[in-house]
Amino acid sequence: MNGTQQLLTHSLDTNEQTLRDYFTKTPDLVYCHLLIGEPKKRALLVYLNTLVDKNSINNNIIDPLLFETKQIHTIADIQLPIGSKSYTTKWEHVIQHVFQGETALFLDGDNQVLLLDTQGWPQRAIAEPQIESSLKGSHQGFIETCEKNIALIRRYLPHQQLKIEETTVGRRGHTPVSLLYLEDVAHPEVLQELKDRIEQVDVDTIVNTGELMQYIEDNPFSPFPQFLLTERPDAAVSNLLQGRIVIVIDRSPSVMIGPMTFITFFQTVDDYSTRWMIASFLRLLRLLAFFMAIFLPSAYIAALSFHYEIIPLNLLLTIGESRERVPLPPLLEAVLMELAIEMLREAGLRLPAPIGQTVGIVGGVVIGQAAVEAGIVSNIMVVIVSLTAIASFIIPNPDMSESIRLLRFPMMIAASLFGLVGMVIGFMLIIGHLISLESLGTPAGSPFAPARLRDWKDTILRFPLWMMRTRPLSARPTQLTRQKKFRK
Amino acid sequence: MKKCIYAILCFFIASGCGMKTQLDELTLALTVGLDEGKDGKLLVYSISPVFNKESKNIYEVIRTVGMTPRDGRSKANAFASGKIVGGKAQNIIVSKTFAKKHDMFSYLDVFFRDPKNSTTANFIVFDGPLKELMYIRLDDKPRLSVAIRDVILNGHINKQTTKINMLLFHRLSLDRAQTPFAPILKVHKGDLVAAGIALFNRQRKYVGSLSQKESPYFAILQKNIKPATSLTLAIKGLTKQKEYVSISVEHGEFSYKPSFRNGVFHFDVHMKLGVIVTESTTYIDMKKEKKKVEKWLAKEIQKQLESVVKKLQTYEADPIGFGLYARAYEYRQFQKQKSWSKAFAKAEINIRPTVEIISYGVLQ
Repeated sequence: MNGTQQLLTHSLDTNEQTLRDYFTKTPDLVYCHLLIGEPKKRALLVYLNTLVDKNSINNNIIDPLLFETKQIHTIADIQLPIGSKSYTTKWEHVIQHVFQGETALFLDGDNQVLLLDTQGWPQRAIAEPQIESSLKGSHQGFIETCEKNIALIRRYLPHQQLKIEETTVGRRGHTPVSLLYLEDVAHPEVLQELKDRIEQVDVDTIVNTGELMQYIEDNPFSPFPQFLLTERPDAAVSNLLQGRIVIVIDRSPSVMIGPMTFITFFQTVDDYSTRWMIASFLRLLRLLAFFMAIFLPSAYIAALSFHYEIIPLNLLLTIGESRERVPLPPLLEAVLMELAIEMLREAGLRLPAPIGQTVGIVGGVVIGQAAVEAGIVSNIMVVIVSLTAIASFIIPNPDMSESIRLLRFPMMIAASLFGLVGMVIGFMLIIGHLISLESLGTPAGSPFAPARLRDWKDTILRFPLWMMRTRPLSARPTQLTRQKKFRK
Repeated sequence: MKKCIYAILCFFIASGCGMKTQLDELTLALTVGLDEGKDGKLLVYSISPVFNKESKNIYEVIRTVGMTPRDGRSKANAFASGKIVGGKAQNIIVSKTFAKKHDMFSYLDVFFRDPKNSTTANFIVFDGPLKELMYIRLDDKPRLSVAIRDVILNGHINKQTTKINMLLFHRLSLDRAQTPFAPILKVHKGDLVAAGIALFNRQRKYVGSLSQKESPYFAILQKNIKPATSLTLAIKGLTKQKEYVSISVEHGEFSYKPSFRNGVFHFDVHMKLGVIVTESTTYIDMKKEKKKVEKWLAKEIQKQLESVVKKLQTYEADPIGFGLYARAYEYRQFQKQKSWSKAFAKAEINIRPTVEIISYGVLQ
């Protein structure tokens, strides 16, 4: 409607007519006619009853208006017990705010509209994060409302340097996007880069955080994620303190964090609340899992197709016996099983919990036993596939875990065509890609490439917290000191 | 796009599918045997595992007659169900009669020259015609190749024999200062037995052997004591009767001092052995008589070691590596020798072991 650029008129009837022209086929839009003040003056209350808190409207707006005894000249004379309100004369604002669950109060003879904050859409209670279970950290997870999510973060950082910048993305959705950062730590260039990229996004709407991520990431052809998605406020805060920027998107239960490095996807915020030796062991375990998940099936294929010499004799005999009835070459055998386990995983993921169990049983019995007994695959292959699957589940970040699962298929093909040499080339390509990968213009390979030895304290091993006195350089923080030296 | 092309090009310089050696299509020659047939021709045996549940045997033995081992393998390929490869070979076995007649090195050449063959295979001498071993049926043992390997390795650990892999055999064959050796395997009442050590001369021909009883002393001379070397010694003690004391040598310190006097090499071999008494058939108070017992033990060990060395000298075989010491300390004299073996046979070797008893055991 081209009327949205226009201004309101002084006539209530004209205004109502404009509204009715605009909101056609909008049955949830409520027009509530009131006579307020002494002498009575006509007023109109407009709201979308699906998006408002009805209690608030009844008690805080309609009730005081009905019992208003003062004379009302202009809309500014109306006093209502609602904290957040604004005035506008533009149709554009009226419509946008009504769609966001605010209530518009029109007064006859006034071209200003009072917009009252009465939002009350359906929302979930704050609950334990579903995807990233928390062992030691907070058990509050982000929900679908931006304000609540910001509140969760602010609780950790009640500090004036925590800045929030709001903007909207999407022509239709007007998705509110908030950037949170520590002004004295986050690098202004990185922040500007992020803001520029978000500004350029011109889409209908952003339904979920993952969508925005794909629009603004550095290298869309990389298999690796370049932003971290988390639904844990403690993880977000931990990253804020490292000088990274948290992007909270309304209507989405996960927040996006950038710039990220490759190694941060192997860290969890729980690491920092675990004693350093245990945390270091877990880090090593995850890195081992990373290599296992990528290379184990391909190593099996390479060894069986090219380099039988590298298998110790006793294992070779076991493999030989186990593969005796298998009609498929190693590559097909491995791809078949890997696909089967991926299907199982995907099937279990989307199914409701009661049926999900059935998938596990069917998969376990059919693939684990029947396939081996039928002689389609070998025992060793089942062991390898299971190990690979478990290894990929150890990676704490689901995005990274999925990237790794995907990468092992090209690796398997390379191994079956070129053996160990193919695996090595594949590995070199991955390494080369990781070195050149960037996240918001900062190197994603940091602190390995470029090598920043000081930051290695928080990579393969997690040094004791009191030894990590500086923030990692990867996010280019402007203030490096994280803590004073207070312990020897 | 350019990057993509480079990435793909990377793979094209790699070795291709033609080099594929699918495990399923291979016949792994785990044991290779060389023997002489009736008319002087070379018999090549190879044992490979069979993974088919329908077949009765878990391994197959292929026998071919050829001019060389490689020739034999080429002929064997006609029999085998897959391409025969030697990359996982565990044992290379030659029969004693064959080893007596021929220079082993030239027959083993293919195992050194072709990099696809394993150089860590054990080299073994078999006492008897090889078909006795190849067609043996061991119902209570794993696959024959594994069983042979295990017998030799176990024998080596317990010092009942020794072991030598192809790489070491290669080095000893070419080294002027040493001669090769090998474990002996024989079949005794249908069972595999490790039976001492075969000695080769400079020409890599079999010349003689050390018995199973002499093997531990051979190991001691090689300074190969770990994990422990068990000896049973007959000593005439207080009672003047035949008594036996078993000891386990735990550690030792050695010094080999060569010198050249009056035209012959002299070796002063000193060794300090730390032993644990594990068995004694007499009732002597070891604690009181410690010094005496130590002396008796040392004397008996000396006797045994000297007899082993004497034997080596008569065979003109130096598997211990006395020549290495001679070359290191008396290089000029060593260089003058036309043949180290001959010089070794004439050498004076004094062995002076001392024994220190670490422990007498728990209960007495």
